[in-house]
Amino acid sequence: MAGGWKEWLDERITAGKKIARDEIVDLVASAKQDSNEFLRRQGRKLERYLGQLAAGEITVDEFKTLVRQLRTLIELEAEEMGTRAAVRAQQLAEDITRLILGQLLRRL
Amino acid sequence: MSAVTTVLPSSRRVRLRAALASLALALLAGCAWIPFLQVSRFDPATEQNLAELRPAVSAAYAGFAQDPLDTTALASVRGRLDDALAHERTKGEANRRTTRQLELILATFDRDLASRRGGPPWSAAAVANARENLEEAFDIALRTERAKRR
Repeated sequence: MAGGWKEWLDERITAGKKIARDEIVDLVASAKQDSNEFLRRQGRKLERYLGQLAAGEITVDEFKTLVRQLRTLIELEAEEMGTRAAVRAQQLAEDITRLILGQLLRRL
Repeated sequence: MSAVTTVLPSSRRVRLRAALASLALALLAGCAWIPFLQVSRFDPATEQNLAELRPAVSAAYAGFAQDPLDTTALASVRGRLDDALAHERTKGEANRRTTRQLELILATFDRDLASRRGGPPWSAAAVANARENLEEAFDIALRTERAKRR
């Protein structure tokens, strides 16, 4: 189900909110391609959670819990990172808050 | 100082200089201790706490799939997390990072437990994902503590 979550998003985010859908897809893609292995791993996890949510393997509440845990992990690791990676980690945490915990979860 | 040297008799000048020199030395010595005191030292007790709490917290999350919850086991893990955090807080500002890490882990545990208490048992996938995340959180805290050995 790893690939099906994008179509699942399409069904839930209407055309008027297409930007949010594209931003979520970009967020996952960009995290998965980060030069920092920790951030890449969090990107892969976020994609897995979206796939499991789309497949009905986890509930919306469980998804929310897991995404919050990811954000906490990023906060924990950011303290140990070099400056550049820490800035990207901060950005990822902010994007998760705004796009996933904010925009996406409001529509579910 | 020139006014002092002209007004004061020589014996008092000597005593004044000695007092000023002592004060300067005390200040220098005091400043020299500040960076030393702020370096967080590796603490074997912290490492042991974190290493033991990692599987205990992970097992507690495994229990989130059960109904009813094992409240005794969960209270025990919660107490151990509290004790570990209290230990870190005794080490002051120099230990800020480890203290903050344990605060975040404890806050996550409390939030997730409250969420589980208010809802149905977690799915197998959610439990597996949560355990992975909490184990990773402890791995980060353990790495922070072990880095203090250098």
